[in-house]
Amino acid sequence: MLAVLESGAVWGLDPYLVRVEVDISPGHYSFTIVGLPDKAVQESAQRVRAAIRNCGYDFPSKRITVNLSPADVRKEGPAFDLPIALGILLAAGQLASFPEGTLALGELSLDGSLRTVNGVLAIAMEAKRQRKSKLIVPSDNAVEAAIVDGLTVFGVNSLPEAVRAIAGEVPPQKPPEIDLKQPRYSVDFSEVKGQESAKRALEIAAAGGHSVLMVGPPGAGKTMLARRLPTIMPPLTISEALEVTKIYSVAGKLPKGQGLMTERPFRAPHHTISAAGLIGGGSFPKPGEISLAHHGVLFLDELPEFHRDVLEALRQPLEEGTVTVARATHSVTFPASFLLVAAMNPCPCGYATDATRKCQCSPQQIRNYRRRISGPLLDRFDIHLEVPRLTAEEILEPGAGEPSAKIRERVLKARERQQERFEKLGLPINCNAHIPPKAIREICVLDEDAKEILRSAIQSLGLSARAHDRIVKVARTIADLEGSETIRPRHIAEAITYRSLDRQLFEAI
Amino acid sequence: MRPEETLAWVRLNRTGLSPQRQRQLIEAFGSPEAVFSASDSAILRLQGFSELHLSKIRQAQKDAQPERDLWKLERMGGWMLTIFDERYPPLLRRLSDAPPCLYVLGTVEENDERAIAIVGTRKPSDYGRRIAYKIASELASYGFTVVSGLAEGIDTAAHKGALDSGGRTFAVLGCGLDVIYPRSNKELARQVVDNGALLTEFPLGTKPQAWHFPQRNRIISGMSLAVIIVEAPLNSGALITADWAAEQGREVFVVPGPVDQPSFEGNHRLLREGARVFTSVADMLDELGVTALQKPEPVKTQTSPKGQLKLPDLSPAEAKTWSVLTFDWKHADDIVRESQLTTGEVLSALTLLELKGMVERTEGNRYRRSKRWQ
Repeated sequence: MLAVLESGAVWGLDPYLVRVEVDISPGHYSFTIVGLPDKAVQESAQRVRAAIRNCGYDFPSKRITVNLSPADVRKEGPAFDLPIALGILLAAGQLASFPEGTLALGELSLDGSLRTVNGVLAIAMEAKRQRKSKLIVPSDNAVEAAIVDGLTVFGVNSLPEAVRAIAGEVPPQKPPEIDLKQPRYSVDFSEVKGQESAKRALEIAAAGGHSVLMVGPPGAGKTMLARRLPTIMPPLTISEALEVTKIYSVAGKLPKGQGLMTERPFRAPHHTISAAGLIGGGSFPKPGEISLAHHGVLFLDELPEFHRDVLEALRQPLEEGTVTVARATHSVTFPASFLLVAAMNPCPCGYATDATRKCQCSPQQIRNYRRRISGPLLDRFDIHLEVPRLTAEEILEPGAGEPSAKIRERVLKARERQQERFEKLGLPINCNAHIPPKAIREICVLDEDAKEILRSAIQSLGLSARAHDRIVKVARTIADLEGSETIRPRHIAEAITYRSLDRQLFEAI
Repeated sequence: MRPEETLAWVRLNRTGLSPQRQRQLIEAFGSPEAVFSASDSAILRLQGFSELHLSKIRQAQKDAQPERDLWKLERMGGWMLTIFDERYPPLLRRLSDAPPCLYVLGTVEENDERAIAIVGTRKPSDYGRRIAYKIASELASYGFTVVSGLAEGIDTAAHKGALDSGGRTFAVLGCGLDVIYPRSNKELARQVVDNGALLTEFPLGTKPQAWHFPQRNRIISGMSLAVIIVEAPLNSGALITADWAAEQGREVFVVPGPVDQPSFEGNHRLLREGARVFTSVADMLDELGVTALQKPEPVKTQTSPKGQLKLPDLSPAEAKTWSVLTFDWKHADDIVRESQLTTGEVLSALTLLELKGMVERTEGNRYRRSKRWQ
């Protein structure tokens, strides 16, 4: 007796459908799973057997063979428990039929209840693409799967409930309501008192997708500021939200019962993170922190403390918006288009620029510390921001700051102007930070006075020539925020203030 | 000086004997050349000399390094200033532990005996930097030579102050002449050579060691009429210089600072112990009983142009921003609040003013009116 039904799995971020074939033949009891199963899939045999018995079904004491096809792709995880169990029931005649075009997945526990699995959204999207019609998943994954339009999703809590769902006795999951226009963040810029220049710089960063390096003593609120950056970025589009949710779903980081991720992610990995943790990896490749920050903000606090090879690994994703994890047997590409925000102290102890606390470091130590982020690494940042430590009175100063929603409106307008321009030129980018070197002259038009100012700034303020392109791009964004098509002197002048680390300010009298 | 003579001085310097021992030798034999041609017994007859001292002398005699030093010194334009030379700082010569010879890069003039030392921490406050710069430029314009140690912070500010007002300055090093430390002051060292000198008792190639600096400090105070401590925390090397100065009978003037700032704790301890308080250069010269050589005219035109310099044409935002700026550093956020302009307007105005040379920026996103306008 043979039963065939379908399930799905994910390789990297790419979903594919899996045929689950169950054969029950006469003979002594045996339970074999073939088709490159990993340990968790092999152990499925034990769970399935116990679950079937404990739910009151008969477990056939015969020779059972399960084949997971395509047989040349390695399978991992416990998500095949449910289809295997249903396949056995079907092959043993305890289940009348299994409807065409239905996918099942879920992890069984020994009492037959179902647990959440990873990657459901991606599999649901693939199911839709291959014109399947129904999906049976653990109820905690149901909302996530129901995002996909035109697929009937049944969220079930146990094996018997799954059987009832097949018989049509369980109501399908309603698709969640999606409101991307009003993202709900738990933090807001209105909570930030003072820090006017920092807020302005972050607004520009959000409007142009510019990377930011913050320098300031401990307690300056660098993390607090960075955490609020996603709240002023434009709301996610539906396709962006789907991408983000897919990544979180595959990584198993989607909060239980959550449908679409409607907020831009904020990731702040600790500086002891390994390169694999940051960019992704593992024998079954999982997305790393930079992919979890896709379409959101990646915040690296204590930048000079990160390992050099870890920072080196950021190079490709920063340039291409994707990261390829290559191993001996396979390579997987994850999306990783994020806004990079980093923070550092001005010296190892942190108080070099602080008037009220004594700095404990020698000038040599300070130089060595700063040298760690020199050159190529410093080049990755469009905006340098020096954040002061606020005194108690300043933090308590009355008058709440501007709410994020209001700043977001201005950012959105600036982004729309950019989008229009890029479409006209046929450029496949979405913000000024990504303007390719060749297109800079065409897109960033400076008037004569602005050109003169940039020239003399590079000469007399000790700016490096490599800062040129970054200044021009940031000035483009500042002009966009103001609604100006040409870049005027005031735009370029403001952009110049954001290159402070290129200058030799630290030795000045 | 004949090359052989210079070579003998370098050899003597390289023996590693203390300055007192070296001088004892010179006094006994008349010249370094004579020291090296003296017999073992003649040397051992000197009071306090042992086999150990003798072996050091003989070793330096065999060493080929002094010849290489001589060649290198010549090539880099340096020379030896010996205690027999009339240009040797007279105040320093009187000390029992005065170095018998100094390696010099630059010039030493007669007027350089009117020297005043300015010292302090390597990590000063803005106030300390400003005061050091100001005192140095004033002293230099009065015709005094400013002595310091070429370190970062107060030392750098002092040298720059003297140089900017067209005066002379000496930098006494804690390493060899060919080892400029810290490296960040390479350019400053070059300017000091053109308008004064780099001096050191350490042989060429000597790396800066922590214990060199206290030793070096005795020369800084020793060649000066007085020592000004601008800003010194409790563990500062400047306090060692103050100790030397007291021992050598030099006046110590201390700049008072804010009492709650750790970087001034050393200043206040010295004041409590009875050091003189520094209030102005005029007061100090008065107390010292020395008179200025020149009228301080050049300083006037350089540092207070208010009446003469007209404001260039400014945009409304620039003018408003300028009116809020002072001579003390102010954070950009404070300027925004006080000017009531938008952040973008203020930031761009600041850059434009900076390009006009009217505003200076320092780390921590802080700005002030530039020196020309003070």
